[in-house]
Amino acid sequence: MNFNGQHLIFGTVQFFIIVILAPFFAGFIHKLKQRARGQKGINIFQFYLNFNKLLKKEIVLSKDASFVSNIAPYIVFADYLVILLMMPAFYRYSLLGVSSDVILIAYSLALATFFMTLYAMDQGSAFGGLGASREWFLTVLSEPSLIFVFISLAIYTKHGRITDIFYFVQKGAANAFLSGIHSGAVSIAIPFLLFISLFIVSISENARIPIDNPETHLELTMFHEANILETSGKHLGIYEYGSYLKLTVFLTVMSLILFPYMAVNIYQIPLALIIYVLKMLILCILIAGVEIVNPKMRVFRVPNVLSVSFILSLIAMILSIRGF
Amino acid sequence: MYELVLALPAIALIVSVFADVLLMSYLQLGISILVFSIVIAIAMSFNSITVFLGGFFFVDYINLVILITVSTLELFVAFYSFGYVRTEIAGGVSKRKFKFYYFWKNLFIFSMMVSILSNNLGIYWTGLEATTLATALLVSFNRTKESFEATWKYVIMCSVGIAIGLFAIVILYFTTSQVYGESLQSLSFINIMQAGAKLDKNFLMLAFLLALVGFGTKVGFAPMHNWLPDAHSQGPSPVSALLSGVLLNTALLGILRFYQINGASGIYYPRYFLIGFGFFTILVSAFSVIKQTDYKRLFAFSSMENMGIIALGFGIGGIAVIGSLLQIFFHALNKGLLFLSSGNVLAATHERRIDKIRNLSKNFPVTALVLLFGVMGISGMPPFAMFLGEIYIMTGVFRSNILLGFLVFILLVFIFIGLFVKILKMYTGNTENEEAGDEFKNSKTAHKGVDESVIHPFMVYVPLILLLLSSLLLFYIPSPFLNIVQSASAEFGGRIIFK
Amino acid sequence: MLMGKIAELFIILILVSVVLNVSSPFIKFAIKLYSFQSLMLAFYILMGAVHFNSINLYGSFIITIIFKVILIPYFLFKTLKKVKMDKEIDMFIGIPEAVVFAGSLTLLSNLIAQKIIKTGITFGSFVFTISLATFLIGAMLMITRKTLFSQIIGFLTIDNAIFLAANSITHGMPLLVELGVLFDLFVSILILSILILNLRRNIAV
Repeated sequence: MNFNGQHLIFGTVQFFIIVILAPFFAGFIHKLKQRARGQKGINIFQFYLNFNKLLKKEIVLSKDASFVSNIAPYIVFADYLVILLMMPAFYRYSLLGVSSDVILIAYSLALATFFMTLYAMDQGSAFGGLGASREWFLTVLSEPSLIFVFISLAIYTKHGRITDIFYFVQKGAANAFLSGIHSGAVSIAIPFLLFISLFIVSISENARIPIDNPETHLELTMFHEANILETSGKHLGIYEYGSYLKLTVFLTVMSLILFPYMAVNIYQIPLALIIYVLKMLILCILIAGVEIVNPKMRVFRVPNVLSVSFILSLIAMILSIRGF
Repeated sequence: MYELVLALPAIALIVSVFADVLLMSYLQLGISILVFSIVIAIAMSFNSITVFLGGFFFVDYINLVILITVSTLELFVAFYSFGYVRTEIAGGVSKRKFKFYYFWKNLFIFSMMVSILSNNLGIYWTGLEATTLATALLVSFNRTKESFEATWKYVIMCSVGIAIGLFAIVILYFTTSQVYGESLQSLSFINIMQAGAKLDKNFLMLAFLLALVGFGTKVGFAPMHNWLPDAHSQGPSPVSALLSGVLLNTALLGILRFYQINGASGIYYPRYFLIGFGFFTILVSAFSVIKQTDYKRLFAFSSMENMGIIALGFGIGGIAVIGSLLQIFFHALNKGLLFLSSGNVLAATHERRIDKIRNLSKNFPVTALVLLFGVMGISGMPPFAMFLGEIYIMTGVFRSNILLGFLVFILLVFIFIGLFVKILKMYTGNTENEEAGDEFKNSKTAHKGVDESVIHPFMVYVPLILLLLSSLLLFYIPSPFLNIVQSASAEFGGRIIFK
Repeated sequence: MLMGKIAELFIILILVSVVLNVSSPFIKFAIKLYSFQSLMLAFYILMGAVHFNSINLYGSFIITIIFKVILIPYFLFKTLKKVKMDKEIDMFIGIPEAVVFAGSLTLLSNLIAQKIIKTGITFGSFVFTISLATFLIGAMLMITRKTLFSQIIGFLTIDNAIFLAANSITHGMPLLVELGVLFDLFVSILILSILILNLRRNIAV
């Protein structure tokens, strides 16, 4: 193992920066949506204040709740933190980078969903079962796309870890741009397909408008919200922060597909950080745009869109196996 | 002189936009006679392959056979149309509708001539697609629900098929452009035949298969034949005659061109595909004929069967090729007379079902006789000309594989039985009706009180003349025609060099 | 090489638009997707024209834009308005199943293309795979939808696929031939529109 002090320090710095920035991006999207609707909009940093407020409040659990309800939120939160420990947002050597296998990331996301829905069902109310089944409905349809996206990346670049994958693409892209010579490792078509596919999956997993509207309180239209409808206090705060972290995970992966620029040493870090924040803001604008333009889809239409994302990732996988 | 063959239908096309229908029918007669005589003159004096109009068009022996077929059939159909138009107008159809009938028919003939005579495969393709479009509105001429559905099926299926044929032409162009460079020259058939052995064999085989399936849709090979019975039965009778007689042959010409190209570069196993498709077509049509209840659909299936026989003959090679070439001409005549005379029955009785028509011989003596003998002719019985074609083809088939010969023979017998039994029932009109009393007679036979005087004499006698011609041809074939056929079969076997 | 990669992008967008076509039941959207698809095809031809510097391809680019991107969709929209057909269409298999089937057709076309490449025929295999996939998915559109418009769109998609394949192997067909082909296509769409106006309902193939 390469025990490099520099990697340790900057990996930790990267991790903390991403974790702290998570509510900011979510707030940014929310503010854009509200501005588009003509409202003045909340403060961008409002979600930090919300978190603070919720942490001080009392937890109310239903009397049927078991020990699961005590530990589930923390497991979910820890799970997302572990995934973020693996993410090379702007520095190549993330803390858990050595074990950041792509399949592991995909399954970790599913693990978090599992515990959240377990918590929801544990409350013993009708909303819990409803929310759990709907959440799994969406996850089952979108998880194949996610896995295919990751597998395509892995096959295409012939590396298993997420850090290596994107470093490989970065080197290939740099070669192609700087020297203009055909390097064979860079294709525009495959990342394009992966981006579209992952975008649709992100919208579905993060409870964004064309598929799910978390602001609604009508039980007929809730997907994600139904799971955490009955939480309160610290648990609610942790769940909400977890959803911001999940959003950050997806946005980070998308930004890496879009244009990977990871710093290798200390001098490149400021530039990489700025580029990273810029990419994330662009993606936030994109997601907000999609949310603003579209009305919420009927539930029966949701499989149509998710199947398109599945097929696009399948096509990307076929192309990457062929070796274009 | 060659250019006139193309120019005259174009002139007819333009004139038909302006002229009145009745005048147009005379003009159509005149132009058909002119075209026919020009073609005969060409045939008499033809001794080598001629290119004209800037290398885009040419006439060789196989072309000439089909050209003679088209012009002959068009002559008789023009006479028939003369009478048909008058009968229908007397029956109450508007004159304006018939103006557009002549326009589309002339467009159809013109594009067919362009297709047949073209040297450039791209122009062949354009002409073929244009014939599909020109006949589309003709098939839906009656504006009934069935005819619109038939037209829809026809246009969609044939367009998809021809698009596949386009892909075949593209692949061929890819191969030949490596020899001739990327220009119109590398689509010229004569150039391709000369390049022969230099072309890539894999590609040529692929192009042939695609052309077989693609253009085969338009020929009516099974299993791509679904549009054929509907389209050929829903159109007005002269149109059906032309469709069955010549359009199928034009599409077959495309397949034959690809076959020749393959032969020129030394690939000989396309013939098995051609034999396979031909046999399968005969099989499917044999089993379909038995179940038909509409007599025009019956004849359409018979067209399909004959196309299968012709393709089989070309695939077998040798003496069967002569049979196929003769069969192309004779089938056009014979099928023409069948459709035209059944058109008479339809025009007089307005009844399409076989079981509603009985006792034709009483009221329609000439037409019924022509129908009966026409069916005998189309199944290959002597003394009608198709006997000759089928004998040659069957000889070839038996020589190459006796089992296949027996199977084909049995299928032909099936078809003969199927056709003949139904037509005989229409002819004699015996049995239950007459014993049951007067009211039954009224309901079962649809044409009580109608007889041949309703329809124009041209309509009645043209099929009769065709029948006599067909019978005459068995005994005496003009020797220039024989020479042409023999040269065509030699060319098909690759023994005539293109200079 | 960069041009090659951008051309790849256009080709992939054609396949994406076909898949989107399968996933959506709206006819207006389908016609717009067809127009987009033809635009992508035209851009691909343009890249070829710039790369090989041939007049043929420039001309082909212009007539493709005129016929396929502008004229044919315009006529289809006009017919759609006259017929006032229901915007959502009935079909034999449901949409997610159809989309997954389209994906398997892509897989199939990949296998076929690999087989063909093994026999020594090596033309631009990426474009050939995509064009074969578009062809098959277009055929699937024709078969599994009940509206007449979907059959037309499916047929047009098949034609686009053949054009794409033609432009990938050669440096474009001679202009005269392409003009003839496109003109024929245009007239056939006109005739089909007339037939639709007379049929005005769904038929099952």
